[in-house]
Amino acid sequence: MKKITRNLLLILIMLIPVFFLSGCEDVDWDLLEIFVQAWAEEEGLYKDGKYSPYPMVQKVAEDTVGDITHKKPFIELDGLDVMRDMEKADALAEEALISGDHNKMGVAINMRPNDWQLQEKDAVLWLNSENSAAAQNAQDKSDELLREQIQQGKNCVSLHIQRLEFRNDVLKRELYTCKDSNDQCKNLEEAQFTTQQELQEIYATNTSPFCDN
Amino acid sequence: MSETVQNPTPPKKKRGWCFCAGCLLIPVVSILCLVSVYFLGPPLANWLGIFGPEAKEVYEAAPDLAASESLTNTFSELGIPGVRVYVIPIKDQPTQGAFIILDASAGYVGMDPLDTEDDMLLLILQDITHRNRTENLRLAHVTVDYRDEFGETATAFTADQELVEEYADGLITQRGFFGQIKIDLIGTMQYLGIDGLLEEIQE
Repeated sequence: MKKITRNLLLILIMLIPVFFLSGCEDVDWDLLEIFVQAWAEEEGLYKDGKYSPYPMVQKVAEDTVGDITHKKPFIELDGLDVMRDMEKADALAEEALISGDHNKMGVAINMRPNDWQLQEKDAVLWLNSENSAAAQNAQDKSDELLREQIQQGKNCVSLHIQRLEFRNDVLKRELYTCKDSNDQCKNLEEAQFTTQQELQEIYATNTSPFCDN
Repeated sequence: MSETVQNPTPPKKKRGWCFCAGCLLIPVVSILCLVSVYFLGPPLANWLGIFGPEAKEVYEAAPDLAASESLTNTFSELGIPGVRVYVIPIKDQPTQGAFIILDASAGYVGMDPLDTEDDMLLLILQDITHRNRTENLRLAHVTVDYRDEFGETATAFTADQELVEEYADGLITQRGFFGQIKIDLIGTMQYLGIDGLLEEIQE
Protein backbone atom coordinates (compact mmCIF):
# COMPACT_ATOMS: atom_id res chain seq x y z
CA MET A 1 0.00 0.00 0.00
CA LYS A 2 2.90 2.29 0.85
CA LYS A 3 4.31 1.65 -2.59
CA ILE A 4 1.04 2.63 -4.25
CA THR A 5 0.79 5.81 -2.20
CA ARG A 6 4.36 6.70 -3.08
CA ASN A 7 3.71 6.08 -6.74
CA LEU A 8 0.55 8.12 -6.67
CA LEU A 9 2.27 11.04 -5.07
CA LEU A 10 4.97 10.76 -7.70
CA ILE A 11 2.34 10.81 -10.44
CA LEU A 12 0.63 13.83 -8.97
CA ILE A 13 3.92 15.66 -8.60
CA MET A 14 4.52 14.96 -12.30
CA LEU A 15 0.96 15.72 -13.38
CA ILE A 16 0.33 19.02 -11.69
CA PRO A 17 3.23 21.00 -13.14
CA VAL A 18 2.48 19.73 -16.63
CA PHE A 19 -1.02 21.10 -16.47
CA PHE A 20 -0.21 24.30 -14.65
CA LEU A 21 2.97 25.29 -16.45
CA SER A 22 1.85 24.34 -19.93
CA GLY A 23 0.41 27.84 -20.41
CA CYS A 24 3.99 28.96 -21.03
CA GLU A 25 4.18 26.82 -24.18
CA ASP A 26 3.07 27.64 -27.70
CA VAL A 27 -0.40 26.28 -27.25
CA ASP A 28 -2.69 28.15 -24.92
CA TRP A 29 -3.99 25.54 -22.50
CA ASP A 30 -5.41 28.01 -19.92
CA LEU A 31 -8.91 26.71 -20.25
CA LEU A 32 -7.67 23.15 -19.97
CA GLU A 33 -6.01 23.98 -16.66
CA ILE A 34 -9.25 25.38 -15.22
CA PHE A 35 -11.10 22.41 -16.57
CA VAL A 36 -8.70 19.86 -15.04
CA GLN A 37 -8.80 21.59 -11.66
CA ALA A 38 -12.61 21.80 -11.62
CA TRP A 39 -12.84 18.19 -12.71
CA ALA A 40 -10.35 17.08 -10.04
CA GLU A 41 -12.32 18.92 -7.33
CA GLU A 42 -15.61 17.45 -8.48
CA GLU A 43 -14.14 13.93 -8.51
CA GLY A 44 -12.76 14.39 -4.99
CA LEU A 45 -9.14 14.30 -6.15
CA TYR A 46 -8.48 17.84 -4.99
CA LYS A 47 -9.81 18.95 -1.64
CA ASP A 48 -8.88 21.85 0.66
CA GLY A 49 -5.89 22.73 -1.48
CA LYS A 50 -4.50 19.19 -1.44
CA TYR A 51 -4.53 16.40 -3.99
CA SER A 52 -5.83 13.19 -2.50
CA PRO A 53 -4.31 10.05 -4.02
CA TYR A 54 -6.91 7.47 -2.96
CA PRO A 55 -9.82 8.68 -5.11
CA MET A 56 -7.32 8.61 -7.99
CA VAL A 57 -6.76 4.87 -7.51
CA GLN A 58 -10.52 4.36 -7.44
CA LYS A 59 -10.92 6.51 -10.55
CA VAL A 60 -8.26 4.63 -12.50
CA ALA A 61 -9.86 1.32 -11.50
CA GLU A 62 -13.35 2.54 -12.46
CA ASP A 63 -12.11 3.87 -15.77
CA THR A 64 -10.31 0.62 -16.57
CA VAL A 65 -13.48 -1.38 -15.90
CA GLY A 66 -15.60 1.17 -17.78
CA ASP A 67 -13.29 0.95 -20.78
CA ILE A 68 -13.30 -2.86 -20.85
CA THR A 69 -17.07 -3.10 -20.46
CA HIS A 70 -17.68 -0.36 -23.08
CA LYS A 71 -19.68 2.01 -20.90
CA LYS A 72 -21.25 4.90 -22.80
CA PRO A 73 -18.71 7.70 -22.11
CA PHE A 74 -15.84 5.34 -22.92
CA ILE A 75 -17.41 4.40 -26.26
CA GLU A 76 -17.62 8.13 -27.00
CA LEU A 77 -13.96 8.64 -26.05
CA ASP A 78 -12.93 5.56 -28.07
CA GLY A 79 -14.83 7.19 -30.93
CA LEU A 80 -11.82 9.51 -31.25
CA ASP A 81 -9.73 6.51 -32.40
CA VAL A 82 -12.44 5.83 -34.98
CA MET A 83 -12.03 9.44 -36.17
CA ARG A 84 -8.29 8.82 -36.62
CA ASP A 85 -9.05 5.68 -38.65
CA MET A 86 -11.54 7.64 -40.70
CA GLU A 87 -8.97 10.35 -41.45
CA LYS A 88 -6.40 7.69 -42.39
CA ALA A 89 -8.89 5.88 -44.63
CA ASP A 90 -9.84 9.17 -46.33
CA ALA A 91 -6.20 10.06 -46.94
CA LEU A 92 -5.57 6.58 -48.41
CA ALA A 93 -8.63 6.87 -50.66
CA GLU A 94 -7.42 10.27 -51.91
CA GLU A 95 -3.99 8.83 -52.65
CA ALA A 96 -5.66 5.92 -54.45
CA LEU A 97 -7.64 8.33 -56.65
CA ILE A 98 -4.51 10.28 -57.56
CA SER A 99 -2.37 7.23 -58.29
CA GLY A 100 -5.16 5.00 -59.64
CA ASP A 101 -4.22 2.37 -57.08
CA HIS A 102 -7.10 -0.06 -56.45
CA ASN A 103 -5.18 -1.91 -53.73
CA LYS A 104 -4.85 1.27 -51.72
CA MET A 105 -8.56 1.95 -52.13
CA GLY A 106 -9.22 -1.61 -50.95
CA VAL A 107 -7.21 -0.99 -47.79
CA ALA A 108 -9.15 2.23 -47.13
CA ILE A 109 -12.49 0.44 -47.58
CA ASN A 110 -11.39 -2.40 -45.30
CA MET A 111 -10.72 0.18 -42.59
CA ARG A 112 -14.25 1.65 -42.93
CA PRO A 113 -16.38 -0.93 -44.75
CA ASN A 114 -19.69 0.79 -43.94
CA ASP A 115 -18.72 4.28 -45.08
CA TRP A 116 -20.62 5.17 -48.26
CA GLN A 117 -18.23 8.02 -49.05
CA LEU A 118 -15.40 5.53 -49.65
CA GLN A 119 -17.67 3.45 -51.87
CA GLU A 120 -18.39 6.58 -53.92
CA LYS A 121 -14.67 7.24 -54.34
CA ASP A 122 -14.18 3.60 -55.29
CA ALA A 123 -16.88 3.91 -57.97
CA VAL A 124 -15.13 6.95 -59.47
CA LEU A 125 -11.80 5.12 -59.41
CA TRP A 126 -13.32 2.20 -61.33
CA LEU A 127 -14.90 4.61 -63.83
CA ASN A 128 -11.47 6.08 -64.33
CA SER A 129 -10.17 2.56 -65.01
CA GLU A 130 -12.93 2.03 -67.60
CA ASN A 131 -14.54 -0.76 -65.57
CA SER A 132 -18.21 0.22 -65.52
CA ALA A 133 -19.36 -3.04 -63.93
CA ALA A 134 -17.08 -2.58 -60.92
CA ALA A 135 -18.11 1.08 -60.69
CA GLN A 136 -21.77 0.03 -60.65
CA ASN A 137 -21.01 -2.52 -57.90
CA ALA A 138 -19.44 0.18 -55.74
CA GLN A 139 -22.42 2.47 -56.32
CA ASP A 140 -24.83 -0.34 -55.41
CA LYS A 141 -22.92 -0.82 -52.17
CA SER A 142 -23.13 2.92 -51.53
CA ASP A 143 -26.92 2.75 -52.14
CA GLU A 144 -27.20 -0.12 -49.67
CA LEU A 145 -25.28 1.74 -46.96
CA LEU A 146 -27.32 4.87 -47.51
CA ARG A 147 -30.56 2.93 -47.18
CA GLU A 148 -29.32 1.50 -43.86
CA GLN A 149 -28.89 5.05 -42.56
CA ILE A 150 -32.34 6.03 -43.85
CA GLN A 151 -33.85 3.08 -42.00
CA GLN A 152 -32.29 4.46 -38.82
CA GLY A 153 -34.26 7.68 -39.17
CA LYS A 154 -32.24 9.83 -41.57
CA ASN A 155 -34.08 12.02 -44.06
CA CYS A 156 -33.79 10.28 -47.41
CA VAL A 157 -33.88 13.31 -49.71
CA SER A 158 -31.32 15.35 -47.77
CA LEU A 159 -29.00 12.35 -47.39
CA HIS A 160 -29.28 11.54 -51.09
CA ILE A 161 -28.55 15.19 -52.00
CA GLN A 162 -25.50 15.02 -49.73
CA ARG A 163 -24.35 11.88 -51.51
CA LEU A 164 -24.87 13.32 -55.02
CA GLU A 165 -23.07 16.55 -54.11
CA PHE A 166 -20.21 14.47 -52.71
CA ARG A 167 -20.09 12.37 -55.90
CA ASN A 168 -20.15 15.52 -58.02
CA ASP A 169 -17.18 16.95 -56.09
CA VAL A 170 -15.13 13.77 -56.50
CA LEU A 171 -15.94 13.58 -60.24
CA LYS A 172 -15.09 17.25 -60.67
CA ARG A 173 -11.67 16.72 -59.10
CA GLU A 174 -11.02 13.66 -61.24
CA LEU A 175 -12.05 15.50 -64.39
CA TYR A 176 -9.69 18.31 -63.52
CA THR A 177 -6.76 15.89 -63.84
CA CYS A 178 -8.19 14.31 -66.99
CA LYS A 179 -6.36 16.07 -69.78
CA ASP A 180 -7.12 14.06 -72.91
CA SER A 181 -10.52 13.50 -74.37
CA ASN A 182 -10.17 9.73 -74.10
CA ASP A 183 -12.76 7.15 -73.00
CA GLN A 184 -11.82 7.54 -69.35
CA CYS A 185 -12.65 11.21 -69.44
CA LYS A 186 -15.87 10.56 -71.35
CA ASN A 187 -17.01 8.08 -68.68
CA LEU A 188 -16.34 10.62 -65.97
CA GLU A 189 -18.04 13.41 -67.90
CA GLU A 190 -21.13 11.28 -68.47
CA ALA A 191 -21.27 10.35 -64.78
CA GLN A 192 -20.95 13.98 -63.77
CA PHE A 193 -23.67 15.03 -66.23
CA THR A 194 -26.06 12.37 -64.86
CA THR A 195 -25.26 13.35 -61.28
CA GLN A 196 -25.83 17.05 -61.91
CA GLN A 197 -29.07 16.35 -63.77
CA GLU A 198 -30.35 14.25 -60.87
CA LEU A 199 -29.36 16.96 -58.43
CA GLN A 200 -31.22 19.62 -60.43
CA GLU A 201 -34.36 17.47 -60.41
CA ILE A 202 -34.21 16.99 -56.65
CA TYR A 203 -33.58 20.70 -56.03
CA ALA A 204 -36.63 21.50 -58.16
CA THR A 205 -39.06 18.88 -56.85
CA ASN A 206 -37.63 18.02 -53.42
CA THR A 207 -38.24 14.36 -54.26
CA SER A 208 -36.12 11.60 -55.72
CA PRO A 209 -36.89 8.25 -57.35
CA PHE A 210 -34.20 6.83 -55.04
CA CYS A 211 -36.37 7.76 -52.05
CA ASP A 212 -39.64 6.62 -53.64
CA ASN A 213 -38.42 3.02 -53.94
CA MET B 1 8.71 -46.49 37.47
CA SER B 2 7.10 -46.48 34.25
CA GLU B 3 9.14 -45.59 31.33
CA THR B 4 7.62 -43.04 29.14
CA VAL B 5 8.16 -44.04 25.66
CA GLN B 6 8.35 -41.12 23.43
CA ASN B 7 6.75 -41.74 20.14
CA PRO B 8 9.34 -41.23 17.58
CA THR B 9 8.29 -38.77 14.97
CA PRO B 10 7.30 -40.61 11.89
CA PRO B 11 9.88 -40.38 9.21
CA LYS B 12 9.10 -37.79 6.67
CA LYS B 13 7.82 -39.19 3.50
CA LYS B 14 9.79 -38.33 0.50
CA ARG B 15 7.79 -36.21 -1.85
CA GLY B 16 8.17 -37.30 -5.38
CA TRP B 17 8.38 -35.38 -8.60
CA CYS B 18 4.57 -35.53 -8.84
CA PHE B 19 4.30 -33.16 -5.89
CA CYS B 20 6.73 -30.71 -7.43
CA ALA B 21 4.88 -30.86 -10.73
CA GLY B 22 1.65 -30.20 -8.85
CA CYS B 23 3.21 -27.18 -7.16
CA LEU B 24 4.27 -25.81 -10.49
CA LEU B 25 1.06 -26.72 -12.26
CA ILE B 26 -1.24 -24.76 -9.97
CA PRO B 27 0.39 -21.35 -10.53
CA VAL B 28 0.88 -22.05 -14.24
CA VAL B 29 -2.80 -22.98 -14.67
CA SER B 30 -3.85 -19.95 -12.60
CA ILE B 31 -1.75 -17.65 -14.76
CA LEU B 32 -3.12 -19.23 -17.92
CA CYS B 33 -6.67 -18.78 -16.60
CA LEU B 34 -6.04 -15.11 -15.80
CA VAL B 35 -4.44 -14.49 -19.18
CA SER B 36 -7.31 -16.14 -21.03
CA VAL B 37 -9.87 -14.19 -18.98
CA TYR B 38 -8.00 -10.97 -19.78
CA PHE B 39 -7.72 -11.64 -23.51
CA LEU B 40 -10.76 -13.78 -24.24
CA GLY B 41 -13.17 -12.37 -21.66
CA PRO B 42 -13.97 -9.05 -23.32
CA PRO B 43 -14.47 -10.43 -26.87
CA LEU B 44 -16.55 -13.30 -25.47
CA ALA B 45 -18.65 -10.91 -23.40
CA ASN B 46 -19.08 -8.72 -26.48
CA TRP B 47 -20.15 -11.69 -28.52
CA LEU B 48 -22.67 -12.65 -25.87
CA GLY B 49 -23.90 -9.06 -25.74
CA ILE B 50 -22.96 -8.60 -22.08
CA PHE B 51 -20.78 -5.54 -22.77
CA GLY B 52 -21.83 -2.68 -24.99
CA PRO B 53 -20.77 -2.49 -28.63
CA GLU B 54 -17.33 -1.22 -29.61
CA ALA B 55 -16.83 2.35 -30.81
CA LYS B 56 -15.78 1.05 -34.24
CA GLU B 57 -19.22 -0.48 -34.63
CA VAL B 58 -21.16 2.43 -33.10
CA TYR B 59 -19.54 5.01 -35.41
CA GLU B 60 -19.20 2.84 -38.51
CA ALA B 61 -21.35 5.05 -40.78
CA ALA B 62 -20.09 7.89 -42.95
CA PRO B 63 -20.05 11.33 -41.35
CA ASP B 64 -22.99 13.68 -41.81
CA LEU B 65 -21.28 16.17 -44.13
CA ALA B 66 -23.80 18.99 -43.69
CA ALA B 67 -23.77 18.78 -39.88
CA SER B 68 -19.96 18.47 -39.80
CA GLU B 69 -19.61 21.56 -41.99
CA SER B 70 -22.08 23.50 -39.88
CA LEU B 71 -20.20 22.80 -36.64
CA THR B 72 -16.84 23.48 -38.30
CA ASN B 73 -18.26 26.91 -39.19
CA THR B 74 -18.81 27.51 -35.47
CA PHE B 75 -15.03 27.66 -35.08
CA SER B 76 -14.09 29.30 -38.36
CA GLU B 77 -16.63 32.10 -37.79
CA LEU B 78 -15.06 32.77 -34.39
CA GLY B 79 -11.59 32.86 -36.02
CA ILE B 80 -10.30 29.69 -34.36
CA PRO B 81 -8.00 27.80 -36.77
CA GLY B 82 -6.89 24.15 -36.68
CA VAL B 83 -10.28 22.68 -35.75
CA ARG B 84 -12.04 19.83 -37.55
CA VAL B 85 -15.48 18.59 -36.61
CA TYR B 86 -17.01 15.25 -37.56
CA VAL B 87 -20.65 14.51 -36.87
CA ILE B 88 -21.22 10.76 -37.09
CA PRO B 89 -24.54 8.90 -36.91
CA ILE B 90 -24.77 6.58 -33.92
CA LYS B 91 -25.66 3.02 -34.92
CA ASP B 92 -29.23 1.98 -34.15
CA GLN B 93 -30.01 5.41 -32.70
CA PRO B 94 -31.71 8.40 -34.28
CA THR B 95 -28.96 10.64 -32.84
CA GLN B 96 -25.42 11.64 -33.82
CA GLY B 97 -22.11 12.21 -32.04
CA ALA B 98 -20.03 15.35 -32.58
CA PHE B 99 -16.24 14.89 -32.49
CA ILE B 100 -14.26 18.12 -32.25
CA ILE B 101 -10.54 17.86 -33.02
CA LEU B 102 -8.55 20.81 -31.65
CA ASP B 103 -5.33 20.12 -33.51
CA ALA B 104 -2.20 22.12 -32.65
CA SER B 105 -0.37 20.36 -35.51
CA ALA B 106 -2.93 21.92 -37.88
CA GLY B 107 -2.67 25.42 -36.42
CA TYR B 108 -4.87 25.33 -33.33
CA VAL B 109 -3.48 27.79 -30.81
CA GLY B 110 -6.03 27.67 -28.02
CA MET B 111 -9.63 28.58 -27.43
CA ASP B 112 -8.83 32.17 -26.84
CA PRO B 113 -5.55 33.25 -28.42
CA LEU B 114 -6.18 36.99 -28.17
CA ASP B 115 -7.22 37.45 -24.57
CA THR B 116 -7.51 35.26 -21.55
CA GLU B 117 -11.23 35.43 -20.89
CA ASP B 118 -12.96 32.11 -20.80
CA ASP B 119 -16.13 33.30 -22.52
CA MET B 120 -15.01 31.77 -25.80
CA LEU B 121 -15.89 28.26 -24.66
CA LEU B 122 -19.35 29.44 -23.66
CA LEU B 123 -19.78 31.16 -27.04
CA ILE B 124 -18.77 27.97 -28.85
CA LEU B 125 -21.12 25.79 -26.85
CA GLN B 126 -23.96 28.29 -27.27
CA ASP B 127 -23.40 28.28 -31.02
CA ILE B 128 -23.34 24.45 -31.13
CA THR B 129 -26.55 24.38 -29.09
CA HIS B 130 -28.19 26.92 -31.40
CA ARG B 131 -27.22 24.96 -34.52
CA ASN B 132 -28.35 21.71 -32.93
CA ARG B 133 -31.77 23.18 -32.24
CA THR B 134 -32.33 25.14 -35.44
CA GLU B 135 -30.75 22.70 -37.90
CA ASN B 136 -32.04 19.58 -36.12
CA LEU B 137 -28.58 17.99 -35.91
CA ARG B 138 -29.83 15.54 -33.25
CA LEU B 139 -26.57 15.61 -31.30
CA ALA B 140 -26.28 13.16 -28.42
CA HIS B 141 -22.80 14.10 -27.24
CA VAL B 142 -19.87 16.39 -27.87
CA THR B 143 -16.44 14.77 -27.62
CA VAL B 144 -13.31 16.91 -27.75
CA ASP B 145 -9.80 15.78 -28.68
CA TYR B 146 -6.85 18.06 -27.85
CA ARG B 147 -3.97 17.14 -30.18
CA ASP B 148 -0.48 18.52 -29.63
CA GLU B 149 1.99 19.94 -32.16
CA PHE B 150 2.83 16.40 -33.29
CA GLY B 151 -0.80 15.34 -33.72
CA GLU B 152 -0.75 13.17 -30.56
CA THR B 153 -3.80 13.26 -28.30
CA ALA B 154 -2.85 15.21 -25.18
CA THR B 155 -6.20 14.84 -23.50
CA ALA B 156 -9.82 14.28 -24.41
CA PHE B 157 -13.22 14.64 -22.82
CA THR B 158 -16.82 13.95 -23.61
CA ALA B 159 -20.07 15.57 -22.49
CA ASP B 160 -23.71 14.71 -23.09
CA GLN B 161 -25.46 17.25 -25.30
CA GLU B 162 -27.97 17.80 -22.48
CA LEU B 163 -25.13 18.95 -20.22
CA VAL B 164 -23.72 21.17 -22.99
CA GLU B 165 -27.14 22.79 -23.38
CA GLU B 166 -27.56 23.28 -19.63
CA TYR B 167 -24.26 25.18 -19.58
CA ALA B 168 -25.04 27.08 -22.80
CA ASP B 169 -28.43 28.12 -21.39
CA GLY B 170 -26.83 29.33 -18.17
CA LEU B 171 -28.47 26.69 -15.99
CA ILE B 172 -25.10 25.53 -14.62
CA THR B 173 -21.76 27.29 -14.11
CA GLN B 174 -18.55 26.56 -16.01
CA ARG B 175 -17.22 24.80 -12.92
CA GLY B 176 -20.38 22.71 -12.74
CA PHE B 177 -20.00 21.85 -16.42
CA PHE B 178 -16.34 20.85 -16.11
CA GLY B 179 -17.15 18.81 -13.04
CA GLN B 180 -19.67 16.64 -14.85
CA ILE B 181 -17.84 15.88 -18.08
CA LYS B 182 -15.94 12.65 -18.58
CA ILE B 183 -12.21 13.11 -19.06
CA ASP B 184 -9.99 10.43 -20.61
CA LEU B 185 -7.93 10.00 -17.44
CA ILE B 186 -5.90 6.96 -18.48
CA GLY B 187 -5.17 8.34 -21.95
CA THR B 188 -4.09 11.67 -20.46
CA MET B 189 -1.78 9.95 -18.00
CA GLN B 190 -0.32 7.78 -20.74
CA TYR B 191 0.39 10.88 -22.81
CA LEU B 192 2.35 12.26 -19.91
CA GLY B 193 4.68 9.26 -20.08
CA ILE B 194 3.80 7.47 -16.89
CA ASP B 195 2.60 4.19 -18.34
CA GLY B 196 4.82 2.12 -16.07
CA LEU B 197 3.62 3.78 -12.92
CA LEU B 198 0.04 3.58 -14.03
CA GLU B 199 0.40 -0.11 -14.70
CA GLU B 200 1.73 -0.56 -11.20
CA ILE B 201 -1.33 1.14 -9.73
CA GLN B 202 -3.64 -0.97 -11.81
CA GLU B 203 -2.01 -4.18 -10.57
